[in-house]
Amino acid sequence: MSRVIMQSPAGDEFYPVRVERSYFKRGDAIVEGDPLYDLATANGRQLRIRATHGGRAVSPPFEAGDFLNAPESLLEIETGLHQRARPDPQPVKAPAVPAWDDDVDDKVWDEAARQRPKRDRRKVLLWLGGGVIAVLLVCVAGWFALSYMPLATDSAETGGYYGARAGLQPLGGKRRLFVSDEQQERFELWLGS
Amino acid sequence: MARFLTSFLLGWLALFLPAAAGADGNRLVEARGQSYSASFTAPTADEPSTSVLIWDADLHMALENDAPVLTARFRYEIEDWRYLLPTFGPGDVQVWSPTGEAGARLPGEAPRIRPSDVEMMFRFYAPAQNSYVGVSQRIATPGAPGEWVENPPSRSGWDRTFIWLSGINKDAWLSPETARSVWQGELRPEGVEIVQAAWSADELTTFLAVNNMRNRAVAAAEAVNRLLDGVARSFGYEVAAMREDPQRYLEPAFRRGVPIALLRKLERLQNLPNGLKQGDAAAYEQARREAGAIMAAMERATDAGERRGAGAGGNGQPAGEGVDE
Repeated sequence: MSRVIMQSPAGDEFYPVRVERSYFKRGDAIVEGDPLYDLATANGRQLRIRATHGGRAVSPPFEAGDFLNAPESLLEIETGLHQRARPDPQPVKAPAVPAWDDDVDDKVWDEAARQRPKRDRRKVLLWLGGGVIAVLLVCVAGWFALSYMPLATDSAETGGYYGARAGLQPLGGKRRLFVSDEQQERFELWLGS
Repeated sequence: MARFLTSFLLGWLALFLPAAAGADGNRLVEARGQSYSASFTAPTADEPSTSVLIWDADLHMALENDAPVLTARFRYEIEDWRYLLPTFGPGDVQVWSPTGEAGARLPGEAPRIRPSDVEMMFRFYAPAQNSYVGVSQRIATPGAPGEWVENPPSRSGWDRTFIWLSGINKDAWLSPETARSVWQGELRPEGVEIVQAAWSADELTTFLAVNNMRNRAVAAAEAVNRLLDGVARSFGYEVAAMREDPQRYLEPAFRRGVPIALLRKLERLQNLPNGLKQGDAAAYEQARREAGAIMAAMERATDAGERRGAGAGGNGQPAGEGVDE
């Protein structure tokens, strides 16, 4: 059985601090992570103080409207005593959540209270790799489709008088999609010379 | 019209009335400046072709061993013409005329459609019978314009000498006795006309098949375009600006040669150097084969047209202008 004293936030810029709300009474059972106080600081921030340890409150809370002019004890928690009474006692350990948060909005606080699952770097890499491969596959499939896709100029219907009588077939084979300017110029020179 | 009227008058002036009727029974009938207008239809044409001839004819009538001997000679000039002939290629029928409307002018050396199997009827009045009789003569091969062509003397006998042109026996042969009587009596030449003639376009058709490069130019343009399709697919070249318009080669209707630039383009496309063939050459090789097939199709069509043209022709129908009445 031991006692833990929770101090108000350190930092001169916060003071004086006004107590906006308190969430417990003396003798209440305190569970780690429970909100204890909402504080309004001198620099305009709003802080929510949470219990860093579970136990029972052995000191009375500050009342709403009280001012703290310097860091001082906010709550003294007696740990161990109530752990025996609890059906599923929690071992005393280092606080898993910060003692205070500067966003007093309940929603924000509740979201922040849940420990955000840490992203698995391996999964991220797998997703990225899979995406790159998928894009490459799409590009290759597109290239393949374009290479073999018949276009209008490959049709047997040339519109010519003799072409219609020569039994033309749609042009087959693989299409070359790009040609360098230099190669194009060489071709034009060959035809034009 | 004035031309035909002039021909008509000249024909009458030139027609010599009994030129000779000696004791030996020889007669010579000469007709000059006759006009004959004919129309005939080529096999694949809807409209008839027309041709106007100015022609001369002589008929020599003599007795040999108391049997009639008839000799005719004939010459003609083509006064005017308008031919509608198959093209062997794009377009159904090509109109050819001396004025060359729409570029359809035949070259000077091109043969004209000539008459053949010209059947003439020399018309006489026989006062003793108070009837008209005729002497029919056929010129199988009139020859070239301006040349006299003489028939070999015909000895067909008295029963095949004169034809009734009037009376109840019209179009029947005169009996030998009557024919002899008519011959020995007075015969007044009344005129001569071409009853019918055949027209064959084979010479002109052959000339066009051999010398007119219009269809070859059209086929070459189509072959160039197919080869460009092939190089575009196989080797990726941009060919839109190099394409040929086959319609451009439809006029003039007679083309002495294929433009050398077009031929060179075709030849170069058919023989691309290896350095320009980077890619899958399947489409290019196919286009090369098809370009050859296009040229072969043109050759086949021309040959077929030439054969078809050899049979083109028909009997001319006299239009009556300038024909003796």
